[in-house]
Amino acid sequence: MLKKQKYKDFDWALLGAAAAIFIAGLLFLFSAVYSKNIDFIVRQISWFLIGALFFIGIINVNYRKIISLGYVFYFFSIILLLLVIFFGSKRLGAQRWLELGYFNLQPSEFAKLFITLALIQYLTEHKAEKGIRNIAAAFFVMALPFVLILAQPDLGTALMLVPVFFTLLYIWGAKLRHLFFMIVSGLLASPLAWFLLKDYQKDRLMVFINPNIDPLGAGYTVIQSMIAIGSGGVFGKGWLSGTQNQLNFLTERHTDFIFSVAGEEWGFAGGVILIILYYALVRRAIEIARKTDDPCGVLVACGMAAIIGIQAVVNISMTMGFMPVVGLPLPLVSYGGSSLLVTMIALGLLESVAIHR
Amino acid sequence: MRIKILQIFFAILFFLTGSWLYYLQVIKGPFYSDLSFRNSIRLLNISAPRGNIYDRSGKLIAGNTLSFGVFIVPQEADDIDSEMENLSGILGVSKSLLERNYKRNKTASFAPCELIRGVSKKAAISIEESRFEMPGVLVKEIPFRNYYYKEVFSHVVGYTGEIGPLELELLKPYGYNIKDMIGKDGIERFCDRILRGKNGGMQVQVDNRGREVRVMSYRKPRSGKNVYLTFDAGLQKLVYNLFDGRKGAAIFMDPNNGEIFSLVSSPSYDPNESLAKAVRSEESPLLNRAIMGVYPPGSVFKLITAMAALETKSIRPDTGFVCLGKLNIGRDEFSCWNKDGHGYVDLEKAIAWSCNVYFYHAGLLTGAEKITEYANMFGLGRKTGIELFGESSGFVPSKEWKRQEKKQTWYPGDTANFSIGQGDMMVTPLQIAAVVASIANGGFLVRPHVLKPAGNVALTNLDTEELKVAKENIESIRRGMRKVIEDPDGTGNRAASGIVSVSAKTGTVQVGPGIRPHGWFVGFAPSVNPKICFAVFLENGGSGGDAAADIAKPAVEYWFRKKQ
Repeated sequence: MLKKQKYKDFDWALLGAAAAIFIAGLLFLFSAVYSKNIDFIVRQISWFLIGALFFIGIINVNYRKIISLGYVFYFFSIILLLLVIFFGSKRLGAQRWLELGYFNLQPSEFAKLFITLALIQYLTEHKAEKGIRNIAAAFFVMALPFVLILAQPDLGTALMLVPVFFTLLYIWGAKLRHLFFMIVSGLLASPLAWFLLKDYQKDRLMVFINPNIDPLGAGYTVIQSMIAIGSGGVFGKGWLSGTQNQLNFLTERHTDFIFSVAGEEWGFAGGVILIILYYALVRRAIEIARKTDDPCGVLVACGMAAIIGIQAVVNISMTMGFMPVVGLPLPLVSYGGSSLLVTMIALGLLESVAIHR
Repeated sequence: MRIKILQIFFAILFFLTGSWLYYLQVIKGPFYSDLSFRNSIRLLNISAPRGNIYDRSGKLIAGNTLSFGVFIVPQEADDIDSEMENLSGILGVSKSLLERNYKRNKTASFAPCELIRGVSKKAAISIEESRFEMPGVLVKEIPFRNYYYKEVFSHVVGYTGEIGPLELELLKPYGYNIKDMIGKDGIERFCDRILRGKNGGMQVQVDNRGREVRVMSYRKPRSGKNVYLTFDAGLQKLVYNLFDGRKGAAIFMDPNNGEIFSLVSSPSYDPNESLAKAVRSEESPLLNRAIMGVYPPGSVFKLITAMAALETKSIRPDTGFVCLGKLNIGRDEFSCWNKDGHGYVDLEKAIAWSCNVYFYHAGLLTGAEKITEYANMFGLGRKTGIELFGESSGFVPSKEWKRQEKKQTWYPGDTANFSIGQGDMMVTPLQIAAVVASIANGGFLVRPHVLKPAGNVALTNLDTEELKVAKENIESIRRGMRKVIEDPDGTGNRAASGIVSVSAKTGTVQVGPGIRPHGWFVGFAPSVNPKICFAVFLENGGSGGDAAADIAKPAVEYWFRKKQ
């Protein structure tokens, strides 16, 4: 009976939304790869099973224990990121992966989560003092891995850290003028950042402004993706029937651009349901935060909501040409073990907050 | 509170994302649908095989051969550089040529880019066999127009090329499309609508690399019809070779119906190759001298003068004049080519010896108006209507023209010059061939043509016109022409043949002091019931009885030897 009592606050709606997204994602993934290599499906499901173990493990652990290990995770992720820089394998012009036998690990995905956990630990430990010094310290906690991830280069994941960082500070209760000051100085410094970008990243930003400057090069992916989604119309071309997808006009369609497959084959009807599911997931996460009195639990719930929600919005927007192309996977849908595993850990943490409030 | 704001923030973010999705799929949906359709659908033109061109006995003059082209799809190739190295080895061409073509022809990374064409079947097969070592390399068949006789027929058959913007504008209503190959000159152009057939097409769904996925619809091409010429390929080749690159033209024709057996303009060009060299050449090989070139007829014109004089009864065949080598007309002295004079000459001898003095007398008696009239009657001064492009009209002077255009009086001296074909008179070799045909056939103006009627329908108007001239007058001239060959002093006697009796007239056109004159040699054979007539013209070829006759004689002999 105790056990039943323990899980009474388990958020089934959150799990339901996530499960629906994952199952839909498998359908999209199948359509994207079945003509080439069905292996992707097998691996995605294997990763899901591993993720499920983590999920079940984490919901049975009090999230506070995990947060108290935040610095350890942080240290671990810095080491991983350094390993990538020295031993990582290069793909698509970026050194993001560590080859571990059958699997390839993408440490920046884990770093994203672990840095968030470390930030939460720091902010929880300093919940009484909310001065500029603490904010600066938190900033440096984030800045070191940020630079390491940017160096891979993995602009998308690095940039993901920024809204998560601000979300945590905001929820933590930082003074608005401090946040405002940081945003303004960040914007003022951004022209400098332009010089630090790799050429292909500059190309992508230019292409976002006008995809037609290089329709067969950097702009190709976005143009084809927009054509795919746009041509899906209201009800889509039908599962496995998207011409853009099946005739290979879409590149990266099983990973970052999987939403273009969804949009083409399932249309606005399917696309909008997927967006609503993501919103429901985020909404449930924030609901968990609201029902929690523990400031640490609030930070964990909001942090996880930000990680999942912002990634979903940015990914979907970039496939629609609404935002510049930054390499970010669509949580629970894009093929990729690291991303799937991290998202499921995040979901586990959310449920842990729900259960252990 | 801050959590509530965070929730609202996310609500707005997701709402914006959803709105953009709505805009893209619902509002702009039709636009992107169209783009997506065009993305994956290609309309492929299947060009209809062009009809062949044959000579009168069915020898192939122009036809299609399949040539093989080697293409590369840049994005499918693993290593373009080493693949080109490989290809250069197989094809035996330099790698830099392939690289140059690659740079020039490359459009998109998914589009096959032509590296080289005209590859042998053997090389094509060996490339096909090593396809797997060279991903992205394709061998495709390219239909290729082949002119089997190279330079020999180029002025008649013409050549084909890609349709130009101006032609496209004009021909669009007739179903011509961009990139069509069309006849640019000669019969290829004249008969383009017959030869070209009707292109087919295919609607093909392609993938991102332009590879065919499936055929959605197919329309079969209808091949073009064949065209038969009146030419004899053997004769044409012989005559062309006899010119040996010298400038000039020759026409061999059936005098009874105007069928041309051979029409040569020299020098010529090879229509299989690029015309760039021919365009630049100072020898103007593109000019069809047989129909475009205009030259003074010289003594050949004496046939017309004789005709006019006889018809107007200014002379009779037995009328005689004494030639002392020159004749004073007004204050000027008009010479005969024989300074010693021909002595007493009648019409037959005058033609046989080409005596200028005789024709000065005959011309003056006839009058310039009548000579102009008969020149026009025999078709000079206007196009013959042959099915080739760019024919010149030539020019027949007249008293009236001199008064109106040149504001000058026509002097008796002008009439004298006119009578022997010097002065302002201009003719094409083809016009002269037609004049000769009328004399050979007994007074019918035939229409020279190069196309055999297809089926029962004549491609051109082939009506012959009977000239209002007395048969016995034509007969008198023919007797003179026979003497040109048979008389021991005849100007053309070196063309005498042991195979067939030839009748002819020579012409030597003075073009200026110190420059070799143009030579004419015109005539027909056999002398009775002629089966072939001819006009040979050599620019700066010297006396017509020599070099030009040396072209005519072997050709005529070839013709009659072949007939036996």
